[in-house]
Amino acid sequence: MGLLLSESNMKKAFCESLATAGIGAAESHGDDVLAELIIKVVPSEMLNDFPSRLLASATKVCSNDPYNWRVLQREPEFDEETIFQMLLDGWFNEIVWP
Amino acid sequence: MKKWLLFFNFMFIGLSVSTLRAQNPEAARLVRMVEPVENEAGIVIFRKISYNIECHFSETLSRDSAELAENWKITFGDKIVPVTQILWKRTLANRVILMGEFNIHDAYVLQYMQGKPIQVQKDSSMSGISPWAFGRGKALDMAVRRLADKKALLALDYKFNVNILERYLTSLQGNFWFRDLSFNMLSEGTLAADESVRNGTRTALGLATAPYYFVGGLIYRAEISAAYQFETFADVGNRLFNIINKALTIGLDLELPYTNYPMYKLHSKTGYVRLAMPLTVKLGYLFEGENKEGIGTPSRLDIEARYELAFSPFLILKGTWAYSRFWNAPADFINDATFYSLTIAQDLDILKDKIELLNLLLGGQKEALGKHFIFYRISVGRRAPAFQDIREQSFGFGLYL
Repeated sequence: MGLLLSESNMKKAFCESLATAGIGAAESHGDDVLAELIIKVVPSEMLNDFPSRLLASATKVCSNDPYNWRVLQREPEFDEETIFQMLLDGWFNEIVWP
Repeated sequence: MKKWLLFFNFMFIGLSVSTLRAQNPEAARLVRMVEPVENEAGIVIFRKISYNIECHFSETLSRDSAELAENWKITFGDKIVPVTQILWKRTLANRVILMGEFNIHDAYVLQYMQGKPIQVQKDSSMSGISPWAFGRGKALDMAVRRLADKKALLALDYKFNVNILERYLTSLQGNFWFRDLSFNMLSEGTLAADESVRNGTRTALGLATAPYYFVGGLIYRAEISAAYQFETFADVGNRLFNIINKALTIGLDLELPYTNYPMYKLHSKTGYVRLAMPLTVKLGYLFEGENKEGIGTPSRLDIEARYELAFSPFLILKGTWAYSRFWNAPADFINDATFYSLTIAQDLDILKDKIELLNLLLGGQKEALGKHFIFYRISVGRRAPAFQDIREQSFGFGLYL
């Protein structure tokens, strides 16, 4: 049984996915995730493979406990203008399913 | 022919239905989805990727309507393909995922009893049908530098890479992922009018794959490559692209993610939002090759380490260390070489709000961070490909495209 696919749970899972992506610039303060602490700029050296690693991280995080969601294998379209809320509302919301 | 007749037949029936119904699915496509399952020990693992159908609607659907199995009918030819599960969620209520045993090579006709029928479309992105991609990952870095001790001299650093052809391999299996195999081109180097700073260029064409591995809550990435590489250098009076070495090369790049932990903690406190780069270590071995005259060149091992400390928007510190070791080098040539470089960079885009002139120079988009930099760099030592003895300080403007 997966965790309820609520907005707060999605936000928390998304932050964990970002942190798991190996760069670590997302932090959850309990249930309250501070969006202003989330990544905005990806160094150019990492921009090419960041969508792949973010999808891999999201798959790893969301398919396991406590979430146990299904994850569409779709990479985010990500560039240096992409910000946290755009990724959460757009790409992440589209790929995770109950 | 029979399939086409059936398809048009469904279309006709469905269009008749749609005149009586309010909601119409606008598009549908096959999508790949990872589904978690528990093994005998109760541990969640990843099941093999399955193909499902994702339906898009112009309006939101009620849960009752979307999840009612009788509302959906999917056919392949004259066969009805069973839908095993229907997924709907409140945060994306204009979409529905239909799960079943769908084959990526088949074209299905989908009937939503509350709307008109549609043919399931193939998606050209990774999520869909094609395991191939062309021209992905294009990136160009450029930096123009003016040398502090030679004020009239400008140097251009560039780096360009593109995955010309890419084949997706597997999806995440447990903790391991071999994402793709790509045929790519990488070209980088320094061009200048003065021999003391012209360190030449290198261009490699070859195959690369990047395995990922999850451990300790983080992802580790490596890159393994094999390529044919051309190295150029222009002596005084010679052509710009004078091939000094062409050889087969193999490489291994490693990222050490825990090395960015201090930056992660700092960013969490300050709220600065640049990703913290991990320490990256690159190993490359060049086999014996030859120059443009056909004279043999020695084999060599290149080791390089890079690290970035992004303290704030106003101080990004980048360090590079490189070492090269030759085997069977000519008597008048060096046996090994070491190079250090330290760069202090300032992101210009973050200053746009403060300096109006920058908006005119760089464009007015407020969000475009991380594309323009000014920097100060100290470089000392010899490095591939030309191994010129460099000792310089420079100021410059960097651009990432």
